[in-house]
Amino acid sequence: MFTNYFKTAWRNLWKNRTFSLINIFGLSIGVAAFLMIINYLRFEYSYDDAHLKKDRIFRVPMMLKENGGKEQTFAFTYPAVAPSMIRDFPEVEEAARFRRVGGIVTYGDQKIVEAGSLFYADASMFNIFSFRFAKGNSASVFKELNDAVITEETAKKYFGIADPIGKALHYNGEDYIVKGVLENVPANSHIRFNILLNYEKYIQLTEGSANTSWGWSDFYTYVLLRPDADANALKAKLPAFAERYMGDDMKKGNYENSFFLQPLKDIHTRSRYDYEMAGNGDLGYLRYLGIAALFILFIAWINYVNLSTAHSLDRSKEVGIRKVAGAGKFQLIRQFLTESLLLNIIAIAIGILIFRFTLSPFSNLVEKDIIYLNITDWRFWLFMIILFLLGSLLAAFYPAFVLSSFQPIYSIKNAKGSPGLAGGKNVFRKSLVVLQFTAAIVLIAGAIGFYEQLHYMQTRDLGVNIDQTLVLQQSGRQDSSIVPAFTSFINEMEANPAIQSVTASTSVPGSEVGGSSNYSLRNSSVDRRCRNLGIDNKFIDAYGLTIVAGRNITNDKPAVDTNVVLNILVNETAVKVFGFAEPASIVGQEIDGSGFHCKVIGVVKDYHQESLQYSFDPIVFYPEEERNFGNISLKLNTNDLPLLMDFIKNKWTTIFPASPYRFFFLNERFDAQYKNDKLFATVLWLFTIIALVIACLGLFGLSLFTISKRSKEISIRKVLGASLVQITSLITKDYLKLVIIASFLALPLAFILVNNWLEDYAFHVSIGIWFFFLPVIIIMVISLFTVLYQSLKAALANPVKNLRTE
Amino acid sequence: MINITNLEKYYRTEEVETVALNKLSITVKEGEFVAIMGPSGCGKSTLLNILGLLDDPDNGSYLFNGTEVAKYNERKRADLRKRNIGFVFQSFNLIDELTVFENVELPLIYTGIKGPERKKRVEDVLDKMQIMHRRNHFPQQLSGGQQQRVAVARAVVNNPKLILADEPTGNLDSSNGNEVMQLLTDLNEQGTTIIMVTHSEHDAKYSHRIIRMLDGQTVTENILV
Repeated sequence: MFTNYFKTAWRNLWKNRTFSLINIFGLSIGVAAFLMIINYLRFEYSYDDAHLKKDRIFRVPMMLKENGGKEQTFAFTYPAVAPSMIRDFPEVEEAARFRRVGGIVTYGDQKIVEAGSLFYADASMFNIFSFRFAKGNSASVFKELNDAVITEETAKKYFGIADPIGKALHYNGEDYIVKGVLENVPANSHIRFNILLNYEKYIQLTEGSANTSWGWSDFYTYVLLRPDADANALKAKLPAFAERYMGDDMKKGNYENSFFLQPLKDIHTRSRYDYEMAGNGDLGYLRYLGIAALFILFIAWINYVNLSTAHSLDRSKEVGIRKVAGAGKFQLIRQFLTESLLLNIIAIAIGILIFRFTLSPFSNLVEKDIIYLNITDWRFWLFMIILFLLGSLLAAFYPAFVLSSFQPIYSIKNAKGSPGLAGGKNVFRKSLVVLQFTAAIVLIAGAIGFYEQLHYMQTRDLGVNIDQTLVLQQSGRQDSSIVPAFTSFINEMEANPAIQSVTASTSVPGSEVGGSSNYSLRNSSVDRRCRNLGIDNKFIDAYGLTIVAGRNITNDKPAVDTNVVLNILVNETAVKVFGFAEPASIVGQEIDGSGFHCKVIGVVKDYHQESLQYSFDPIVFYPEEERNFGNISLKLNTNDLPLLMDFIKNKWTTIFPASPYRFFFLNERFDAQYKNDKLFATVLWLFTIIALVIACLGLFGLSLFTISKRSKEISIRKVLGASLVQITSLITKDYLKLVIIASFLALPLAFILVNNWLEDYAFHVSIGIWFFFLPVIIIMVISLFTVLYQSLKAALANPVKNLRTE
Repeated sequence: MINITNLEKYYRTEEVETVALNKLSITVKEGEFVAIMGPSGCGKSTLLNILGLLDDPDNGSYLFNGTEVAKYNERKRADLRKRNIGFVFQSFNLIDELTVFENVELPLIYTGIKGPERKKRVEDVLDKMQIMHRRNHFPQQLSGGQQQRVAVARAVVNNPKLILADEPTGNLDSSNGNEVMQLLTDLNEQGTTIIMVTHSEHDAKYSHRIIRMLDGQTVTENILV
């Protein structure tokens, strides 16, 4: 019997090639897009899966709240936390700290800036994490203070094909001997490093404070719990832990400090603390993409259901004959299910092929190595195939049910099926189209909302002038010996007329201000945490910042001697944090912090130091001495940029031979903060367009069918004098009605979704009228054009032909 | 074989009720060849549909081989139908996607006959209908007469006791029509009961008895044999 089913199925697919093609094409694109997204999500959720003890590994972030201030959360904590936790809690088996350091690593003539990828780490990390050794092992490394472990890639970078073991890397005046080589850190690891140095050495260099400090908070801390430990019970003990070690200080400084226990698996997708290690994913984006994936598959299956049901009209005669020949209802259902399975299997197979072939461009688009997106796990495929087949069965059930329910007598005599089941007034089919449009409108609204936010972030006035600004980064060893060279370089730059201004600072806009300290008003014990930005006296003018009260820094003494009063500027947010209503009121106030007695001499208007995702931080601007400036910003004004760049590079390499020439254009760097958002916008638009294409395919098929069924009616109307417009609108208005119903369903849903997501941004667009109209207009125009072609064709056809063939 | 009494069938739309069969009573004995004639709309096709269990009556009794079937549900009707009744239609009603062989095979599939047996029986009947050489052709590749021969083959392949033919020659020229009528006569001679709706006096002459209908009732019965 199945041979017969297959035969009929195959011949039917072939006979109705257009419909089969639309169906298969739509479904296979849906399947491919779904796979693409799910695979991407799978990768994002696979972060840190490689660690065998991942379920027992937790990070210890912390929260600081100064009285009256906002909560600030940090991905890292104090170095004393790790040893104290091991000592205090039997649940903790191991703990490890990572302290990121920067600077130049040299080997022979090679000088490489290991920005963000050089860490001092506890040896216990090799027991906690499962980074695999290519050379050496966890027992043979970090036995000596100056031991180093590097990755294979780093080994190649420094030593080529030579054996790295025993070779010395020079960093910060010390030689570190390579004792072990790790396999490259997998792309799905939230901790990324090139070089690990023995933490014990760091303790020595810091004279112990990297082991005992409860105030210095730059240490990413991980704990491994014992297999039988209860993480929640441990969490409950952390407030008492904080109280035990910091209670007195918290009381004195009037602040709260609490520690968290964050599961390793939560870090990549869920963690939004300050000072995260770079490259965290965004759960909001991932969720939205997940929704898009489901919508796409849903739209594709609705197409299938709609087209098959509509098409069932054509097959009612066959059903009638089969019934007359003795077919029972369930035999027919089986037959039509077989048929739909055949179509679905073809579509799934093509979908998987499309997925495989587009994997490479897609992995380029999302900037992930294709190796990690290439799924070899058979369980994934098994799950997907079962999912697709189940979905196909579900989608096939309705058309099969409709078809098998035709009364044979109606089928044979009228070839129109049973009244009400597949007729033009089919509410079910229309509801499905409405749902499809709803999904499409939500996707478009989301994509538009996102685009608007991105546009807003990129074009909003930052309050700081970052145009034409070249930033040079100083990464050499910074002691007082650098000062003459520094002065000489600044003078050379200022002497060049193509350089409008030169200023030096510890941070530049486009990233978090590096350090922060507690400050308190004189005679008050209330600490307020502010970011510290060291600047020279040209910074405010060079960056076009505005002084709203008091005066700018001029020849004020830099922060060297703690016995001398340090004149500082604060921004408007800091004014509020210190409890002053007016900027002018804080001018002249004395503030203590960072070991200095400071006096506020002026207030800087708030500007966006970082991406608009973040709110304004309180910032203290203080005059810094030359040797501590990591950044020199040059405002360029030239028609011959290459010439000027050559000039700057020559001067740099001559004056700072030990410091590699590193530069970036500030507007590009600022823009780079939106890299993730831009990527998401691109991906979102891509899948929105795919969803639209699939929905349009369905609409096209459905209108093609409806029109072919109504050709006689159209011809009669035409003979009776209906105009082209009347006939076209006859068909199109039906679909437009559905779009309008869908809009009413979709817009509130999209509004909630987009609003929720915009909440994540400190500065965001408000959802305006465009949000309600644009998606609806887009969908209307697209669906109109989809249906219009068929309608026009029908309206322009010779009516006599249709009437004669009826 | 067939005994219907006071059979009624109405067609209702929102405003109008049309009487298709009005307290109709007829009897058909086993082995009879009966022709039903009458003007369009007199209810003859409705009667044939009810006799074939393709439609159900609103009132009245329908005894098929002594069993009351008027109130049978769809499953029971389908079961009775596939075991006992073959249909021949004016428009042949072959499935375009299936070949001649596969079309004829269909009723055997649904009755659950196994493959080799099916093959034999289909070939036998195709032979009998002299259409064996076209077994692998699709319906649209055949002439009208050939298509109707396939339809008849399909109707008889399950050896039904009753064949219901709804204007079997309506779409055929006279020579093809005669051929089909001869086929039906042969089947009848071999013991199959045949009830045929027709407009053609010429075709009606092949039957034993002509029932003439008007407005859902029988008006006359002519016994020819």
